[in-house]
Amino acid sequence: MGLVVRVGGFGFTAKMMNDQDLGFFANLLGVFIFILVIAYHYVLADPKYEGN
Amino acid sequence: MEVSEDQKKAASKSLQSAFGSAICFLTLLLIGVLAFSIRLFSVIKYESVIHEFDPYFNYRVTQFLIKNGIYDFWNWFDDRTWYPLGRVIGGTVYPGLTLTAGSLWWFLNSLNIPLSVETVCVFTAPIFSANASWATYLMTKEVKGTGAGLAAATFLAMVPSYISRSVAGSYDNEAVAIFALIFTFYLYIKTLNTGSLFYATLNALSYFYMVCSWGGYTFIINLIPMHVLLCIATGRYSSRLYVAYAPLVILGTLLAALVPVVGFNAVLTSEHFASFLVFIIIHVAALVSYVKGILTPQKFKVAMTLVVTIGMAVCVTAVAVLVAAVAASPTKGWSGRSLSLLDPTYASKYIPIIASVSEHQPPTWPSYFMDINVLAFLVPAGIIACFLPLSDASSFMILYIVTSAYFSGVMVRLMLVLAPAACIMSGIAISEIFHVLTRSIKFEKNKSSGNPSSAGDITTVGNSITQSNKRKSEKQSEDHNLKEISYQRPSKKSKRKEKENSETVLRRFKKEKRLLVLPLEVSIISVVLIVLLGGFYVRHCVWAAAEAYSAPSIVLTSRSQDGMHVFDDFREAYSWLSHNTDNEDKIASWWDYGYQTTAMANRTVIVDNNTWNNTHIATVGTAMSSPEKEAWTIFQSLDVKYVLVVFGGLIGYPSDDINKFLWMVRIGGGVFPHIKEADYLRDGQYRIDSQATPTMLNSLMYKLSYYRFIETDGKGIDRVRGTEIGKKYFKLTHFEEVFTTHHWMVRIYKLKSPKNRIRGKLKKAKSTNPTGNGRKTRVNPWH
Repeated sequence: MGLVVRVGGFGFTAKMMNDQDLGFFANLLGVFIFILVIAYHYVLADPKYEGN
Repeated sequence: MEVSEDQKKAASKSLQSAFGSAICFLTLLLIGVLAFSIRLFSVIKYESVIHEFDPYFNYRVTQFLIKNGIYDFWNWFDDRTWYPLGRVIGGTVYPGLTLTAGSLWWFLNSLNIPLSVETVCVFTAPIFSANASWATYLMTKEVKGTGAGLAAATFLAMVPSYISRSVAGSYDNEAVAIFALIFTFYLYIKTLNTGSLFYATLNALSYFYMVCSWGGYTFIINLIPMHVLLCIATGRYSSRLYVAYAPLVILGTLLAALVPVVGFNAVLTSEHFASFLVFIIIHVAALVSYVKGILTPQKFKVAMTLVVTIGMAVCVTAVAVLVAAVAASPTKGWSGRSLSLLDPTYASKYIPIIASVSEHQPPTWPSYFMDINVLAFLVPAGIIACFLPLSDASSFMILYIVTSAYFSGVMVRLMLVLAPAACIMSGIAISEIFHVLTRSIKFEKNKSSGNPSSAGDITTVGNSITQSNKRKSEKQSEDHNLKEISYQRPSKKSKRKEKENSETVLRRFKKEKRLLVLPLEVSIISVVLIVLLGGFYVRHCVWAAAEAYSAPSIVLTSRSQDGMHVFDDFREAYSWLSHNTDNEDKIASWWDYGYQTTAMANRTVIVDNNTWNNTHIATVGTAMSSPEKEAWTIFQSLDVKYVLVVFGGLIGYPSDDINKFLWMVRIGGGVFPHIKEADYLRDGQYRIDSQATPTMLNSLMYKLSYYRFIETDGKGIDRVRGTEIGKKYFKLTHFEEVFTTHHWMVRIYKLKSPKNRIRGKLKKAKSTNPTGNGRKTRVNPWH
């Protein structure tokens, strides 16, 4: 389900986001955030000062 | 050389910290975007429309507030509902949501952004979901650190349980209340950790916002005293605890009493007594702590014996007075809702209206997996992590998850309160896992790269590490230990002394602690598997948001081979009412549709979703359960002009009035004993086919639902009940059909006018009556 919208007078058409596009975007963003959280833990992990 | 080494280390540390802050900021920004965008499925799949039933009332109230201003809003008496009783809106509504959306609309309009009230109302919930995610980050950061905070915020942004009550269009109290709940808890923990009166004051103000927003504020004012009591009982009393609790009780109660719907309930109802009781107890604990400090141990023992003896006598007297004060109330001062939470069987026994609401039923086991998914088995790991080490903040979290898990088992709608606790616990668990894995990866990487600065450190502890790998003992991170020690500091003034003590303790920790390091391959595979687990969670949450929780209820859809069909019967019916009836006409229907009728059709209704008057609802229920003539008499006495029923038998819509009919009978029969549930059941079964009882077949609800239904397919097959109806050909004597929607989902009938002349039969009945007074003893109060 989607809608084709004509934007401007130069023959440019923009397709509005449909629910499948939003689903894909949300899935991608969710996993990316998860990876960012892991990256944060990796950056701040400091084994030198732990357990010494 | 040493200086430059230290400078290099310091520079590296600050770079690490800066990079970490940048990642943290970016992650929080993206979490806000995710929390907002995942809730937009309903707008994209359907339209920007208010959902369900209660949001329509909130929308109508917001419209009134914006049009008439706050003073008229406080003093608003609504005569278009609960006719002829009316409803005092200002004194019975929680104004937080309305004032929030109204303020947002006013702010946007002052910036010349002309959004309509409906648009602001539709998008209020997604905006506050992003705020709630950030509040979760702040709260978890106070408990277990920034990493846990980010993980918890990520979970909360997408948890289906919260999405179900905060999609775009779900303009209900929970949309802002959950943010207020988490933020209040955050400020409480912040005050507990810092002992700052500034945060204590903010905590009271946040609690006030929560009281304005939702009746669930009683959860806060009971959970926090429980935690304070737990801390006192486990010997964790400190001045920080006093600063965190005492101002909240005083300021919070005073502010709560300002909200009209709460008023003096803040000091009169049993829901608030726990806070006052613990207020007394904390003062006793403070006094004991002070006296202990100034007396010798022997003198303290003597003093304690004396005080306990006198104190017990005073306590017993006080409790006796309290019990006598509340014993006069049949519910012992508790509201019906609170009692139904404390005793899950209470509502079904005494308050059928509460028991009849579908979201008040206990949840099934699969609904836990549907609503919190992966978090369900991360929560126990989080609870264990909270014990290692146990702090005031982590003990609060344990209490929160335990109590919310209990209440979620009583009522399915309280899964919403469980969701933040589950997200925080899961965030803590996941963060602990990531700490170990990322540390192992970095450690193994440093070892394999042969880093000289780290090699020295590694060799000095090489033996202990080897031993720990073999024994796999418990690990303690430096951050957590330092945090634990810092949160045990009593005040800022003794900071230096405490710092020296903490360093001594830290050195001891360093000697006793062992480092748990996993092999590189194991760590990497574990990280990949956890990302996969996270991927499953994300996928489930997006599916739940898109398919399960985005339906607006007012518009239904179905997919078939021909494509998608849209059932817009509700709005069709309300539109018909709005255009074809007079402004002063009264509409009778079951209470479910009251809010929508007043908001969309702009007509006066008899009962609505507020369900504050059980007798009035029972009157409507009795009318629906009675034969046509008696029902007409009841509606005539209420000045009703039109009756609206919802019927799903043609298209297979299961939430219609025929399926709700038994509740009408029960609620009606609870007040008017001539309505008996057994009369509507055949051998204990609820039937509408040829085996249905005569009482059922003659009831108004049956007749209004199935009138002319035989004309649809010639057989009268009800697609919801899956059977042919019992009575197929009948006429209505006291009602006339005026409108039926396209898919027969909503049917509107008009009451026929009363006859003008008295018929001969009535004169004969009067003349043959031996008493001559024209009356006979009747059970039905409307005869």
